[in-house]
Amino acid sequence: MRSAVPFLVEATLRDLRRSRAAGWGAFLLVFLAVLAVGSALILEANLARIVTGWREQVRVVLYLDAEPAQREEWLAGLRAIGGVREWRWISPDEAMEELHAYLGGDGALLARLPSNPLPASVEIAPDPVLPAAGLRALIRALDALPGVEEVRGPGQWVEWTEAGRRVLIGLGLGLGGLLALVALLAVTTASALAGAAGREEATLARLVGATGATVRLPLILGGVIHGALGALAAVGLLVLAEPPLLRHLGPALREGLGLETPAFLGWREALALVLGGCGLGAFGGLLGGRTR
Amino acid sequence: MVEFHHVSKVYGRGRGRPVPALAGVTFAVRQDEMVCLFGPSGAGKTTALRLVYRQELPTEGEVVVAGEAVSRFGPRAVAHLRRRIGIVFQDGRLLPDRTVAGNVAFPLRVQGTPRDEIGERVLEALRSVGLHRRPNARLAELSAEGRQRLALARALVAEPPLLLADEPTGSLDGAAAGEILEVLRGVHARGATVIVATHQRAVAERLQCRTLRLTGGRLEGETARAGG
Repeated sequence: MRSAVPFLVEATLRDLRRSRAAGWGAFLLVFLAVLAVGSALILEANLARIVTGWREQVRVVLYLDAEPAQREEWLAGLRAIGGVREWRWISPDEAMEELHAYLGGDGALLARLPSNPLPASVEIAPDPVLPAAGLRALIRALDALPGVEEVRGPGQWVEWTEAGRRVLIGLGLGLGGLLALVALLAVTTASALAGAAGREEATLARLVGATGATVRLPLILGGVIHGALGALAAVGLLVLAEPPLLRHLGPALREGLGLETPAFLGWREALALVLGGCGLGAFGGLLGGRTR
Repeated sequence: MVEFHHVSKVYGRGRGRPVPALAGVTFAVRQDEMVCLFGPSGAGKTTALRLVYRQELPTEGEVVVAGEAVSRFGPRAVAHLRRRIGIVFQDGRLLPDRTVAGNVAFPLRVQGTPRDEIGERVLEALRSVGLHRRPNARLAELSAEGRQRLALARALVAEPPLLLADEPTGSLDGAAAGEILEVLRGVHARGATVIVATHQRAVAERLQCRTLRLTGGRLEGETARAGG
């Protein structure tokens, strides 16, 4: 049976040999680009875990000026607001008990008060994945509930961590994107050089019955090989770096940032990175192969 | 097998001074026939051959191969057409980084012929031109005659029904040229249609085939048999 595969394999290997130096450059740049994007993904996953851990501790407290007459109705209004993970009603007596416990030995002073001055309150745990803007909207909605005198929420750190996370991820992905662009240029150059070096052979191939696709496909396959090898090397390095990084940085991350289990590349992300490298290589090969 | 209907070809139209290569040429080559396109340099012989294998498109007129107008072919049909034509190029177009056998096998590999079949056919083609004892020789080791034989073997390896040979004897001396022409006659005798472009009257005479005389892109005459 006739098959163009042996010719394509042979032509691809010849093209790879023809652009050996440029090919190494393409491989290296794809490696760096995938390494940067992979590192950014790992950074993002871990920042998300750290911030989520912090955000799970966030509480919004509503101080009421008086206990609502229709408590169930009031609570139904609270439940209707999106972004509330859980809530706890604190009566004035419970608040007093908590204050007692908090003051310890000094709590005896509270017994001299003629009446309990503490208001009823509701402690709310917002959904930890709620963005800063969502949290602000939640606080505004809670403040608008009837009988609410004061709302005490988290400080500005929620906005700051969110903005910081965005900047870090943007820098990582931006660097990765820039390197990917340079890598694309390198793969295109390697393919164009191989195409120019093998032009005589390609012309002859056309004259003896090769289709345009048969002549150009080896350059695209060459690009895919550069992209795949670069991406595999980068993903391999990231995977191999996991145990030593965990060993050296694990305790510091746990104690300093509250990150119990750092995230690394899952197989889906690894596969996406390798496929991305292949796609980049194929596109570079396609661009470089236009001259053939 | 091959028909030219009022074919004209002008190079460089729209870019600088146009150069006419063929002007209103009409002829036909029957299946199993051997024909010489004879004429001096610049007569339009190479252009005529290039029009047959669709390396060029006619400016006017129509070129028909095996009953089909090749100017209407899409890329796939052009590739298919070229698989049925063996071509000996004027400039050889041999691949310097391949062995003798590698050069001959090239069209078969492009066409996806199975590997075990390639070996047999390459050896057969090399035997037909007398190069079967040197399949692993590099191109640099071959003489001009050896290269000409190699180019012919490559054109024959796919056993095409149509063979186009552009100056197949090139600058070879009498004896060497004679052997190449014998091979061409053998190919024709086995049933292939052969068109030979040459500027050497002796070639046309030795092939003893119908000769079309081209001068300045025009068909100036025809003889039923060279020298006849």
